[in-house]
Amino acid sequence: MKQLSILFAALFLMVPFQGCDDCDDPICFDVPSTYSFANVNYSGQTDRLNMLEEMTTYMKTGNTPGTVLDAQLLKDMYANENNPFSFTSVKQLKNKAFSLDADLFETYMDNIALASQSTVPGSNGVAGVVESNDGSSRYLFDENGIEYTQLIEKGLMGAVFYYQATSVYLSEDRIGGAVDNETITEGIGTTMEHHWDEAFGYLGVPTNFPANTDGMRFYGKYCNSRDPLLGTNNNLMDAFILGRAAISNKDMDVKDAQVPIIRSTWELVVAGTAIHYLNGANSELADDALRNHQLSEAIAFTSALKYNVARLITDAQIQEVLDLIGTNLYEVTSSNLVAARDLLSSVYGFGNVKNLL
Amino acid sequence: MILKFYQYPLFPFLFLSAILAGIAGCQDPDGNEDISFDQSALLTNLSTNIIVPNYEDLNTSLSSLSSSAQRFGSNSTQANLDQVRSDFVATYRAWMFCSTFEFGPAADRSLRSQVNTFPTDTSLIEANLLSSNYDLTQAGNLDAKGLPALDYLLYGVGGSSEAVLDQYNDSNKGPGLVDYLQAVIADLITQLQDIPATWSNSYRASFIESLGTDVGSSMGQFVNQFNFDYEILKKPRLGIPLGIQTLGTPLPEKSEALYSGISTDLILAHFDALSNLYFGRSLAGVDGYGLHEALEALEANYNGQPLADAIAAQIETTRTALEAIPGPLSETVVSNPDPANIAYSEVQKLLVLFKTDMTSSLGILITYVDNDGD
Repeated sequence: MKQLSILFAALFLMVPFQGCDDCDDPICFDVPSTYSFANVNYSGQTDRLNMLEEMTTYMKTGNTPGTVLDAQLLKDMYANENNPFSFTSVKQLKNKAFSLDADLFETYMDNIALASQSTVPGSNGVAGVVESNDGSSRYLFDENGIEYTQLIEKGLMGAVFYYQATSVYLSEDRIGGAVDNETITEGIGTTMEHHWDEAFGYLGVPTNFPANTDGMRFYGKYCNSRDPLLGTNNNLMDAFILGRAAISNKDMDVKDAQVPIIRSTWELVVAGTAIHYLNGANSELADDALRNHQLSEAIAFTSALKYNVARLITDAQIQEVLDLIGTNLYEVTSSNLVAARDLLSSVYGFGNVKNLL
Repeated sequence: MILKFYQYPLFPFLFLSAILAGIAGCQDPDGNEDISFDQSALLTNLSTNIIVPNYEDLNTSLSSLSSSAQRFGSNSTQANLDQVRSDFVATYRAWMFCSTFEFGPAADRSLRSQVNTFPTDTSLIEANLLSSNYDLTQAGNLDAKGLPALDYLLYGVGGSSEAVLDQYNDSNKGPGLVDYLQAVIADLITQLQDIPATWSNSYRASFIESLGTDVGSSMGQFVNQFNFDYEILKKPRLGIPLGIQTLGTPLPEKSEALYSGISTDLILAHFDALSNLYFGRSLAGVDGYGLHEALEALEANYNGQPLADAIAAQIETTRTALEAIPGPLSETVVSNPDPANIAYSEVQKLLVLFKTDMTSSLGILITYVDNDGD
């Protein structure tokens, strides 16, 4: 009987078989080398990346002394009201921002507008533009050295892009077993495929990333910057490509296995970048402009860690890091910044890499 | 241990016959076009023994509520408050057994939003009370009327029964409150009273006759609304208060029936209503032809067992998990969320069986969009 079985098993292998999911390889379908599939559309995500880019460009005009920023214009850009962009779109950032923080960013917009009304250079206790010691960079801070441009830009990257991708689109509700993966809409794919594509669209990389790094934006750039030490590029891209191929080939196990890879790798990009800026601030400790700018980045990236539903870090640890940085960036101490960095590093097990990030 | 199909002893013979017969060895078990189920039996049982009696039961409760609210309005005593509250709870519960039927007469007037838009907007209610100039038929007042508004008016206008009674007995505010309470109940009666007759006299006949599984067919509408309504249980009723859309931060104020605190009772009632629909069971407990029988007739399979059995088992598991959630939900999501989290994941498992396995076996396309994805 055993021999017979082997005989037929051999016969089975010789017969081309279509449609059965019994295949001895872990992956029983073709996986392309780039994010190239039929019916991919993430134009809504691209629109939002474009919106945040124009918002950031506008906010940075406040780095030129004497430029007063309009809080209402920023709020219009946030909610895409009154045609604030150089392009038209029906999408908006505000209604996709993590709901409990959606209003917080409007407070930040009021704060940056207020700081921009200053007519004197910034210093501890005084809002205004501060120039770096070498005269090459200028940033608009509030009286505590907070650069709201960073809290808004990097904050919205977290509350919209990172949150939507890792916590919304890759959730059971959007790509789980109850989501349609049969009905193909021309140009959009199945509902499940589309949700996966929308998560990918928030990463901000070209479809043939990382072979091609032209057109990297937002998290795409940070992913690429962290890649040499954390190996984030291929981990993220391979998981996105494999998961999408799995969905199209109805292999739910392989799809499900990519979700934690994407979530945890993206978290490494955010955490690694927070550490990168903490290190940067510490090495420029005596330069008010460069220190405050990089600490504002660090605050924004650290705060964004909470937007990942499967995050490794706890909310209490996030708060601990923020408390170590403090609320007045003119009064930070080197030992606190190192402690903040070390705390983050210990959560992710970066070891000595923490010094190089 | 699960054997791969070529490891079964009979495999060689099956394999050969498959080749000879030219049949693919892994045909979709649900794809057999020769088997069908008795749609007429299902639609007849559904409309005659479930939909119409459930609406009638709701109207009976509503009528008691209207009478007790009249008495409470003219004499705002603790005893009369207790009675109107008890009739309110019965009415809310009865609504749970009707909320699925958002097709035909109910769809024509968006009954779900008319009756149960929650959470209610208490500042809008207070503004209406202050102006005493409101039109509850206007769309802008959907979140200031219906059962959630009654929940506020009967439990939320004061922190205790005594405080509620004080409000109704207040010479300034009392009369306005009584008027509002009665206006909300009158609006509910307007929305609901003619629906059972519309079903019995006209809509039922066309409902039973519209066979097939196309998008507009009766089965198509019923199964879509069945799933849609089940997702209301999953998300607004349970998931949102639990924090599933806010990274685990609970939102207790989003709980249904926040002021009376009967949210977990309503969740169970709604689950029982849906489970009755699945089995084809009437309120009186008579078991007729339902989705369960349809899946049995279709011999629908799920991992080697009948899909109908898998669903029945998951219904049991889910109900047990839901029962284990301590009420009121608004407190439990903050102080003891584990039972609710466990229940949520069981609810989700059942959703997959309903929305994916059951609908594909029935050949019905889900046509509603349950997200704002773009």
